[in-house]
Amino acid sequence: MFYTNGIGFESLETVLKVYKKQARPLEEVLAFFSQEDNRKQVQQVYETLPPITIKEALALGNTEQRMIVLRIFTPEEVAQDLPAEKIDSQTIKKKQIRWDENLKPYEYVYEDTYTLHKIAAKELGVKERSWWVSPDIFFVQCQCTSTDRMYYLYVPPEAAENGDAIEAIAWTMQIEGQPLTKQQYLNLMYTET
Amino acid sequence: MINEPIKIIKQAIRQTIDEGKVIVASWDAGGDQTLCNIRVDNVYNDFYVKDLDIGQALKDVIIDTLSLPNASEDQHVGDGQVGIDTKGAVTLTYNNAYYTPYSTDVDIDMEDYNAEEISIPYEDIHGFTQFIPRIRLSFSASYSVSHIIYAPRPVSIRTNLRIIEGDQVAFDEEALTHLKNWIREKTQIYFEDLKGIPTDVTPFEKGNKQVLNFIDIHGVLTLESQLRFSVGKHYDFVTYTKNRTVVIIE
Repeated sequence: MFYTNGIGFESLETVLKVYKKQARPLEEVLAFFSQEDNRKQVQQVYETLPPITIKEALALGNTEQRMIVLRIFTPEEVAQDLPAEKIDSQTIKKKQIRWDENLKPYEYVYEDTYTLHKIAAKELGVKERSWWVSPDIFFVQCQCTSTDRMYYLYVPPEAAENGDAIEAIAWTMQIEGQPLTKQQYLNLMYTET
Repeated sequence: MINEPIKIIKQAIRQTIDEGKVIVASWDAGGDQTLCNIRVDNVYNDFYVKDLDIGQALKDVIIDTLSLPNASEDQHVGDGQVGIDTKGAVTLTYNNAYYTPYSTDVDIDMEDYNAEEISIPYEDIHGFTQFIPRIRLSFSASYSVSHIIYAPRPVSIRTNLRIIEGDQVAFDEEALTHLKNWIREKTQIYFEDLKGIPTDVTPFEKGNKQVLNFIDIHGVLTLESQLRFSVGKHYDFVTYTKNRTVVIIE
């Protein structure tokens, strides 16, 4: 058995590919192995091994193993490595009052884009059962207008059923326990601006 | 009205006491468990008459009569002796300590937990630390008032060796036993703060006295060959009952 993050794996290659994904140098990886045979093997194969892919991570049989390995991927990598289908993209024009270095207010106009993506359930390795249709996975990509960081927010299938990116992002907010409608979301956005 | 099994149970208890045997019940109830043991002349859980489990029947009536809890923050720890009174009823003369996180006196508001962080050097003769941090060697131990009553022995230390990265690391049993014994020796002093139920208690009705009820220690061996651990002390309000006699079967 070989370990990473405290979780055991049968395959040394899988663990080494995880280390490769984490960009650990050979010297550091060698320090993780005490048994001579294992050290030799690591020395022979580590440099040539590719990093583990999301597809390989999803194919791992054990839930804990999948959880530990999937954690090392960024949302961008998940969106790029799996064939995510772009369903819809909408841009809202917003205005804000900002202040310059002389504390003089000025009007700042910018565009806020929301993109709805879908990843088919079969790409995630979810097995279909006759009595249960596994749902596809939907997420909305958007940029934080304050920090410029890109966010990928999961939304359930019902929030994406109309294939509308704004309707989907509206679902991520609630008023009195009810998700916002598209119109409510847009009204709130304009209020914000 | 006495039904047939109750009659048999009463007869069995009377006969056992008439033979000069001592029937003792002890319990530790609360926190999702209701442990109650019956022993006859210090023999546990072996009190049968004609396939009828007299011990179990006694446990049931004691739990019922004393309202011993199961899923509860409260804890009852105690013991008592079963007897027969002058009217022929089965009685229990018992001592009990009732622990609760809440005082019945609203004016008392005391801290119920404190923890102390401690670090002591470890002489690593078996080479554990050379593998840290790719292995994690942790330990834990806990001790409560009920341990003192039910298991008056050195505190049991649980060690856990977990591989975090890389391949297996095997230490021989002797090395791990040495480490465990060393930890026990170094931590024993912290468990000595916990006293059992005092023998000279004065019974009182209100749970307005706070006592140490539970100690837990957990820690790790560090890369710098230090045993780093925290000692957590849990306090509860206690009400003692002493030498009270109740009828358990009319």
